[in-house]
Amino acid sequence: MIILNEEQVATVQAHLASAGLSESLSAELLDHLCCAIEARMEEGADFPTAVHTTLKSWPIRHLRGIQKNIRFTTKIKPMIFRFTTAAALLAGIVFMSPGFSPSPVAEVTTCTSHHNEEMLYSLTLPEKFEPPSASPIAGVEMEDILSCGYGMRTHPIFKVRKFHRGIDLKAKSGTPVLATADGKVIFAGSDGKYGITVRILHEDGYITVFAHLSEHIVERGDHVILGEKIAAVGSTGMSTAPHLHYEVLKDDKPVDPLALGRALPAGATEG
Amino acid sequence: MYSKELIKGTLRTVILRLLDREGRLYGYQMSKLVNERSQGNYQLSEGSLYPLLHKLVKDGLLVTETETVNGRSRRYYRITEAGRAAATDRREEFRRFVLTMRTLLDLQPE
Repeated sequence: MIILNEEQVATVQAHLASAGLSESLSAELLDHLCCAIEARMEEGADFPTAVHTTLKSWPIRHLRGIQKNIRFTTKIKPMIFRFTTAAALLAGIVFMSPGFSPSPVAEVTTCTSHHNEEMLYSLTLPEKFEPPSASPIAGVEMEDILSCGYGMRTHPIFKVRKFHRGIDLKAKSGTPVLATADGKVIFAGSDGKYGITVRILHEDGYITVFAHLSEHIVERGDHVILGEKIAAVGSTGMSTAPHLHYEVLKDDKPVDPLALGRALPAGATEG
Repeated sequence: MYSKELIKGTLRTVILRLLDREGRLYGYQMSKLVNERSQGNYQLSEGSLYPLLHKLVKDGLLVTETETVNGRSRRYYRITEAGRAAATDRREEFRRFVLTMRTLLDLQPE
């Protein structure tokens, strides 16, 4: 029985990563693709040929289509259903109400169905990017390992009141650092006081910054997906102990990373 | 090979029945089994299989179990009691449908 080795799996993963799928779907499809490739290899094809034939029927467009389709059937369709039910109920209440006269009801119903249709379009076409709200450390909530929050604080080295542009998360040196949303690496390397740093550009003008790393795994230009390992915690640059300095910028202005999980930001805060 | 419309209308019934018989399967295994049992006539596309599986999970007819196999994480789908009930209902409905179609289309058993 043929089983793909790590390097071969990584080749397939790279293809999936370029589609920018959610982590769980990506893992599921990775297994599916690997099984299909293994089956082709069992039939006598070599790895490059098997990969080529398998991936040919799985173009990026197709992969994104699956994700969109899942989102539509599991989230948007029920939402439309609920909306329609609510509208029908409302119409029913209006209809049953004692002060009912036929003409305004007709208006209400046509108006609702029109809105419903509009809602369907606005929901299916553009996919709203959700701001990066995941934790950069696997399996740990940011709040639980927070050593220094966002905002004004006394600087640990300079001992003066300074604005802290991000949050500090306690973690051992070498702990994997994960991408907190899909995006593209725009910087990976040494950056003065920040030490080894990775910067990722996301949709909607969001940038995430990971600083004081011991190493970076991704390189500039790489596309990363939510939950992908990008670096390891360290204490490079101006740092007193191993920790992760994590920043989220919206249109180049820092925002509180912890606030993103709770509610949508009302805009960038003062820097 | 059957038309997209026929596959689309029956995929849920086929997958539920398959899981009702087997208990637990992963995505690739399902498409392989269906393909084999239909001698390649019923070809389901992954583009419709995965959205359906996720929908069935959301509806409580299936649950997922993730395991590491050959160094990769593999997501198994297991049928729930509600899923078994749905599988039986749909299969029964389809049986009646086939009989109706036989009359409507004037089909003679071969």
